[in-house]
Parts: sequence; C-alpha cells; structure tokens
Amino acid sequence: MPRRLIDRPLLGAAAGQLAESVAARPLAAVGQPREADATAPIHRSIVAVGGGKGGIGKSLITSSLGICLARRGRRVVLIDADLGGANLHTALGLAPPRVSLGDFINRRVSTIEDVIMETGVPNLGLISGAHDYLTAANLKYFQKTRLLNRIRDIQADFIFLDIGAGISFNIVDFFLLAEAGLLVVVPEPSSVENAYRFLKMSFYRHLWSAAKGNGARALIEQAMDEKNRDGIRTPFDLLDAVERLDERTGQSLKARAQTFRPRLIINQARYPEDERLGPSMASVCRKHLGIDIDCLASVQYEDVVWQAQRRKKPFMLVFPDSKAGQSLERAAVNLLSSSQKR
Amino acid sequence: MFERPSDQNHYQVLEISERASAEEIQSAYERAKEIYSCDSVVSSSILAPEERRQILERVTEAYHTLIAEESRRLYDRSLAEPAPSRNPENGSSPAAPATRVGYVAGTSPSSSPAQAYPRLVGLRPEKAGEAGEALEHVKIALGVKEEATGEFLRKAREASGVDLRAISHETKIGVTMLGYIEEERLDRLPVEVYLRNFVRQYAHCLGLEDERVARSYVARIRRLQSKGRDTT
Repeated sequence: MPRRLIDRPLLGAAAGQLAESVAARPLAAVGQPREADATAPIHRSIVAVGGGKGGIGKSLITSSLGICLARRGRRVVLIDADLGGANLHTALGLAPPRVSLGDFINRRVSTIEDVIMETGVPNLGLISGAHDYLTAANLKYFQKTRLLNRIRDIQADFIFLDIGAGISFNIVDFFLLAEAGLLVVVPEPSSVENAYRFLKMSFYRHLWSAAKGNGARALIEQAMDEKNRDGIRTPFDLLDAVERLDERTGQSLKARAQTFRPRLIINQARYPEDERLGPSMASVCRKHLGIDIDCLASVQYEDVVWQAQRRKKPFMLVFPDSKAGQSLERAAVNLLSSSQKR
Repeated sequence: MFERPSDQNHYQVLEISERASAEEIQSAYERAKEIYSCDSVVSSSILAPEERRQILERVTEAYHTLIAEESRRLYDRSLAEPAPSRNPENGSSPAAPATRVGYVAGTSPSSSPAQAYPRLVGLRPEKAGEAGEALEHVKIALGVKEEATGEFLRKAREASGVDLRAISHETKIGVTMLGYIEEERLDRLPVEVYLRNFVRQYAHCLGLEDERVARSYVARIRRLQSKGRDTT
C-alpha cells in the first residue's frame, strides 16, 4: 500500500480514517541524495501525456518517464488525470491507493498535497485516480479550475499528468495546462486519426482561451465542428477568417498559435516505417495544420513491456536496459534538458 | 505560423533548405511520396484522396524542378525576383511579359521557372491580348451574361492558361476552396459573406467583372441550396 508523502493532517471524519491508515511523510524527506547532474537548476515543468485514444500506453510512458527523472534525483509527482479510467498505479506496480484525486476534488481532504502518495521509488509521488467515480465529462467547471490551480502549486521539479482518452474540453484543458504536452501515438490508423483530432481540438482550444471578442470565439467554435458550413477546414482557414473579421485579433491569434508546440511519442514501433511515423506526422502537422510539433521519442514494441505489466512491476525498474527502456531514458533526459534551458 | 500549403515554394513543399544537395532532394522526395501515398497511415485520416493526389503532384513538380541543375537555377532566380507591385490607382498589377503569365494546362510544369511559379500579372483582358480574347470567347460561349457558374469560372481560368495554384497564390484563397467554388460543392462552400468575397477575388484575377460575377454566382448558390433544402 503506498503511503502519503505529505505530512499534513486530513480534515473531516472520512479523512481522519484515511489518515490513520496511511503513514505520512513529506515528499522532500523521501528523496535520496541527488545525482551530480541533478544539481543543475531547472524550472518546474508540468508535462501532460495524452493521445485522444485509450490503450496506447500513456500510463506506461508517464510512469517510465517519471521513474527516469526521479532516479536522476528530480522530485516528481505523477497525477492520474484519466478520470474514470485510472490505472497509473497499476503501471507503477501499486495496489489502488485509498486516497485519490477524487478526495481532493470532492473536498474530503483540504489540500492536493494530502493525496500525494509514496510509490516506493525515491523522489516519486503519485496522485492516483483509482476508485474515483468521477469522469472528465462530469467534472464541473469550478472543480476543474480549482484542480488546475492547485496542480500548478505543487512543489516538485516535474509534475506529470496522465490524461484520459477523448477530446472533451475537460480533457483538453488538462493537456493545455502543461508546458510540455506529449502526444502518444501507436502506428495504427485509429490512433493516428485520434491524435490529429486531439491536436486540432487542443490547438483550437488554445486559441479560444486567448481570443478576445465574441466574433473570434464564435469562429473558433465553428472550426471545432469539422462539418461547419463556414468552410473552415484547417487552422489556416480559421486564422484567415479571424483576420478578415478583425485584423488585430487575427495577428494576435497567429502569435498565440506559435506558442502551441506539443511533442510526439510513437509507442509500440515494430518496423522501420514506424520509426519514421513521428517525423512524418510532424511534417503533415506543420504543412497542413500549421502546428509545429516534433517527435520526442520512438519506443520500440517489446515483449518485456508486456511481461513487466503482467508481473505488475514498473517497466523501467525491471527492464531499464531494453530498447524501449533506453528510448524512454533518452526521452526523459531530453525533457530534463528542455526544462534546464527554459 | 507556417505558409499555407498552396503558398509554399518548391523547397517548402519538400521541407528542405535552399542549399539542399541532390541527395537531400532525392531523400525528401522519397519521404514525401511515402507520406502522401494512398495507403499511408500518416495522411489518410487528415487529407481527402483528392487532396493527397494534388499534394503528390506538387511534390513531383518540386522534385523535377529542383533535381535538375538548370531548371533549379532558373527557379532560384525566379524566387529571387521581387513580386510585382500593385498599381495603387486601380488595384491591378502592372502588365508583364507574356512569359510570366501562368502556364497552359498540358505543358510541362517545370519547363521554365516563370511557368512553374506563375504570377497572374497581365491577365486583365484589356491588357493581356491573347488571354483576354480567350476569356471573351468563354464568356460568350457560356452565356455569362445570364449567370456565373462554377463551370464558367473554371473554363475562364483554363482559357487564361492558369491553374488553381496560381489563383491561390494571388488571392491567398486555398486551392481546395477554389476547387469547391468551381465544383459548386454546396456542402463545402463557406457562408455567403465569405463566398462573395472569394468569388470576387477569383473573378478579379481572371480579369472578369468581379462584382457582377460574384453577385451572380452567390445568387445561384443560394438558389441551389434552397432547392436542396426543399427536396430534403
């Protein structure tokens, strides 16, 4: 049973029972001495891992990247934001924790730190979504806003959000909270299709949140409907339409568009053409959506991944030297390097 | 923000630098063919088959232009030329040599840089002799005095010897949208206010009476849409 990481009294009767059942320890106290490179200053990073589709390895990748960074001495908190389909704890080889994100959302605990649990990996905390019967669809606006604000306040070097399938606003808003949005894709038509749809919706939502004036927002909302009758088929069409409506808003949204830079992770790559999928998708996104993305990693399909999951062991702890493990290690180093540059 | 696909030059189409070696051009061409092939998982869910076909045509044209030293040299020179400036008095572009008018359908797209990268200068009928005469024939043949249709626009364009990319380059309207206008794709055309503007720009490029053509075309589309609603 994982333990809470933050030593903070829980509120309420239900919380009191929870507090008795778990030994609490501050996140900082559970860390081991940092590696030499870990002393380099970094900016706190929120990393969202999405993909628009279920069963593509988001939780495996989230847990693996988190483990890699934690082992490099960084304080990492993983949040299972896959409301309604949470299984990040399983990817970490843990039983479902008794406190979870739902306890914070429903105010059974007072702070989000109260639901950060120990994982057994030094420096690595988990906010589980297990046992939560909330779904992204029924998360109310004020609950989402409070949650997003509190996530920003968590004291850690890296905060990973493992977000669920779909393209609803609640899901996309988790993705947009992050400085680094990682889009997981497997080399299958349905995954690629969902990834594009997720990208477009995230991009439009990114613009919408910065758009001033009802006219521009209305056009963006039109664009979100792929069958709209205004002839807006691509972000290029949208930005041109906004510019025709109001040149200043159009220019401002074009500048905003350049701040949307998610990264791809191709998972379960079997063949050489699968290795090229990331750069090829990035090319299509640049040329036909006007979205600048790059490929962070291509993770090989390997039987050992399945073996680790079957044994309920964290893959990166059991098979770190496998090809897939090495790819994920390089991706983690890349993320670390990016956060040091910022 | 990147250039619209219809505004991209050959280097941008192949995603290579203007200093790319022959090997890099070859490699970029192979990669683009793989991305936009009919069974590609990368592009099939985001682009319609017709869009992929058009892109492949552009990729092929870019490749053939850049892979041969002489045509690449000429193309580079055409890129370095400044775009024609607008005449502030009447908004039209100045007249230009006939060779700068877009290439005629059926000719090799990369036979000269001006043909491969056309600019619609000199197409105003009063200034561009042959093209203007051809347009007049089309107008008469199609009876445009009654109604401007998508077919009329297409035939007028073809009579002028320009392709949709050239129109798109001038108007900044996507090639796909221009195609929808020509095909009168009721399910794809934008709302009236945009449509009128698009058609006006398109007709202006061809040296037509833009206001009248736009008004007539939009009225026709409105009528077709209304008829479609009645039947459903």
